Amino acid sequence: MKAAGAICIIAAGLALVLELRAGRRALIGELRDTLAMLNMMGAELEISRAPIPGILKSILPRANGRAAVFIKTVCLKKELLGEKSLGEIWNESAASAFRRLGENELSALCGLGAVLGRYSIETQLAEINRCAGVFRGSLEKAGDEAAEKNRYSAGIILAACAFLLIVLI
Amino acid sequence: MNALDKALGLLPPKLRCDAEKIGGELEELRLRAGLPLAAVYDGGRNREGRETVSRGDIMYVLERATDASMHSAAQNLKNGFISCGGLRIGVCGEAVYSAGEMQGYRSYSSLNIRIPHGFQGDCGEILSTVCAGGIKNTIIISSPGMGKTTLLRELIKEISERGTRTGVIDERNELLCAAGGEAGFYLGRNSDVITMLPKRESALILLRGMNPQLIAMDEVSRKEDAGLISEINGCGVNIIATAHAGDEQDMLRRDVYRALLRRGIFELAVVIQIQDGKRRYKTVRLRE
Repeated sequence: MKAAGAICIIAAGLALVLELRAGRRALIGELRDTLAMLNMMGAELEISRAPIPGILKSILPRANGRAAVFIKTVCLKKELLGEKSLGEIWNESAASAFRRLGENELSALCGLGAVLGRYSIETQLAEINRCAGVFRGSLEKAGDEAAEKNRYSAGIILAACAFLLIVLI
Repeated sequence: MNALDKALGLLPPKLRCDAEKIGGELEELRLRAGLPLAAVYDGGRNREGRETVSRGDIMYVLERATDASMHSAAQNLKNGFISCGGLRIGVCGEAVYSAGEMQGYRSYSSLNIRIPHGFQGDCGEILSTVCAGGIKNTIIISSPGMGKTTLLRELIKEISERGTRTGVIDERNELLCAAGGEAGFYLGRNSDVITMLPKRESALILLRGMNPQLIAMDEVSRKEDAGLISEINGCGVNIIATAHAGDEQDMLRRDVYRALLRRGIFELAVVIQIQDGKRRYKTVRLRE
């Protein structure tokens, strides 16, 4: 009975740790995908000087994860242009597509939405770079935190296992 | 989606309904802030809609026409138009002028959405005159809105289909009417088209790289254009172009064209005129 209980506790602890780990991995993935999207957007805008929805459509095949969902949402909502501004469409799509981004990253994206399509190419590129900078910083921070927390959780799991083994023996 | 549907799709719902009720073959839709929607249809007839156009409506059209990305239209806006999905939209408003050139518009007051059409009728007679004994340097002339570009497009297609390597200078995307990388009109199997680039740069690219036998261009209107035509002709390449003039006599009254005609560059003029509500095409030999 004691052994079964110990196994259950360890399994629950392990599941919790894995869940937290998956969450951290998903956040890192979302940050990485969005950063890649911003970099591609900047490069395309600089070369093609095409309209923003056209640029998003052209980078969609190379976009991953939630960034791809975000692009698809903007492209779908493009039909509302005229009734809504591109900035509104951009912000609504960001809020619905990105689930794990923090306030800092969402606010950077909204700032970019307010500039896209409205100002000169140079201003837009500067804002894309600024926004990408925020994501790069967040990605580095999330990577460091994930490594640290993974070490902690592995330590806690090992300690818990050892403690239970001692109790059981 | 055809050009008319594209044009209607740019309008706010209330104006779209209004425009759909006008009927006939729409050629232009004009939006002027504070005035009713106006349309030109069926070869130059005019009609007004019921709805009054607001500045918000004009911004609605501009947002949709540029995909809310004014940077993509900035260069064309300096020349007073936007090219959108094969449509040409003329723009007027309060201009911003600095550093010796127009920078753009501060606000917009009127738009003219021009809807391109395919050539209707038979251009066989014109074609055989242009091509008889080798392609003749030809200038298509008419007043604005009479169908010069439409006829030029048809001649390009037919001549190209007959095997002539044709370089097309499409400065305003009015010949190819390309949208999203796809051609709105077929210009023939031997045509190479450069769109959205000034005439001189386009001509150099075509002459250097594509070895054309014929170069076609729309709207020769400036001295530089006339100079360019002389240079192209000097390279042994034939030319078909369009120009604004009522007829061949009217052309002679204009400095830009007079010089070209005196040099004997154009052999043939095709004059488009409206008679009895229908377009008539007259070919005139400019030199023997």
